[in-house]
Amino acid sequence: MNSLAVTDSLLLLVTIVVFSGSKNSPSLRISVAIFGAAALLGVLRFTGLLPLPQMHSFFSGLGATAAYPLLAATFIWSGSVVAQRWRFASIFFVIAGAFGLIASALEFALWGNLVALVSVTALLIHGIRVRNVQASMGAAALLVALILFASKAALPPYLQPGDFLHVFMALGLMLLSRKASLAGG
Amino acid sequence: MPEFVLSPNILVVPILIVLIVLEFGLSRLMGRSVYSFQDSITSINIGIMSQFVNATGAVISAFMYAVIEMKYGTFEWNLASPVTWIFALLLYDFMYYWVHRTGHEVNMFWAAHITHHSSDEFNFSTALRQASTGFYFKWVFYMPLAVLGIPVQVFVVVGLIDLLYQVWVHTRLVGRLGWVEYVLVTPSNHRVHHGKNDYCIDKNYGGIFCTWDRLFGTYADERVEEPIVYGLKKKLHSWNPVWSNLHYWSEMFKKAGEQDNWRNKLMCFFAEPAWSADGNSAPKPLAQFPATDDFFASRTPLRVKLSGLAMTLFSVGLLVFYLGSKQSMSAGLQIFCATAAVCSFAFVGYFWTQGNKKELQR
Repeated sequence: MNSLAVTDSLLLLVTIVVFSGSKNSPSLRISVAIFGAAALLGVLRFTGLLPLPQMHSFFSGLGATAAYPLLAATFIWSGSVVAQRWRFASIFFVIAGAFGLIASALEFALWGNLVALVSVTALLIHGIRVRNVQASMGAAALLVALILFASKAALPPYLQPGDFLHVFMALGLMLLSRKASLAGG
Repeated sequence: MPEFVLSPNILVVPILIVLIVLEFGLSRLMGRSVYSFQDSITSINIGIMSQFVNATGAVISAFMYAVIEMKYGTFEWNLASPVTWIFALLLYDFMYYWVHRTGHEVNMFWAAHITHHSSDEFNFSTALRQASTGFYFKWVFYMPLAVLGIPVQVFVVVGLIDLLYQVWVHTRLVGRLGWVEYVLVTPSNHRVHHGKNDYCIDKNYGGIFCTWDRLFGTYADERVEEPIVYGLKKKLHSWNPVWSNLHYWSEMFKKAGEQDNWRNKLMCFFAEPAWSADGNSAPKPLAQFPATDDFFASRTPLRVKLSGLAMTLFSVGLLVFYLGSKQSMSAGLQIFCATAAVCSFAFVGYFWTQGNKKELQR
């Protein structure tokens, strides 16, 4: 077992909490379910219980290309059909995921990073515009997570790049979901 | 001259022809009329055209599947084990249920699938009336099989089994089949799927197993007391194979163009087919649509019938040649052949429809 298993467990726990507390927000539920699935596969992989690296990588990619934009849509267009109805949240997810798969098939690896970065930046700008401190902090935490992961920041031998991603993502999701529950979503 | 290879989809062609001839003959023996000449000719030509287009479109699906399976395929599967095939077929059929349901319940996917429902008849030729514009979205739904590592050859074979199974359920000559109705898709429960009676709308999406419909609440039994009326509520009024594929796209874009905001424009593509901007999204009851129809009731002129028959025989030959030779053709030549086929169907289809309309005006 390494640090990644511990931080992935933390992320998994947060996604379960956010998922169970967002009954009225299908888009939030779908996006945290994908993050949660990736985290669960990470736990299984890094504890050595059931290593499925390809599936872990698939769900991580799906998280970047489809779950991040869906998360952004949840908060930026909170009154939209995408944020409020299962049907449209699913369609949004399938289409975003399809683009991610096409990019993956064409070896356009940057696509996932770009989509995640744009989504989180849009979330941050939105949070600042509506002057919601909690949402802004949540989006900032997600942005820090992506930047630290992309720059391969590490604290050897204790923390690896993936650890920062997991911890800051967990923090960001927790803060954002608090914002959703405050808004009654 | 391109090299000719006898592929499995070529072998299917004579089987389908024999099935249609058998159903036609049997219906005559039973004193029933389940075929109308021009409708069947149009169905067969729509099927041939879809094969021209999808033979190239399917390459995209297979390519996407193969790449994703190679990159993310998680488990190793033993091709010699029946478990592999049974599991793959079950999972494929489950995903088919969602592809099919999406094809009915999301407008821009219904625009592709509507072609299959545009016949007023229900027979083996209706099974061939497949869309030429559906390949662009279907592949996404089958990606879970790729991620599980099901090999591409298994995916292709179970896909073919699922497709071929669905041919025989397009008939009015087979009644209810007892306990089978609880497990499999049968002619009886598939008739409901093709009906435009109010109780038939958005029901029975299954491919091989109707279990998915029963699980997700979309199953409906055929009602003996209420004869099924087949086809679209708003009739197509065309024998043109190309227009039958494009008419709904045209309507959808026109409707989106008429909306005054982006939300509603997007809803025209992603909402359910019955969606309207005034908030009345419930499907209109069948009673609101005219029961009789001059276009379909009118006598098809002999010259239209003869040209229909000639075109069908010619295009079957051309399709067999195309399917057998396309492996040795460049991608450019394949696209050229498919485009040429679509153009000739558009031309001949226009002639058929005009022929019927002139007959109507007499």
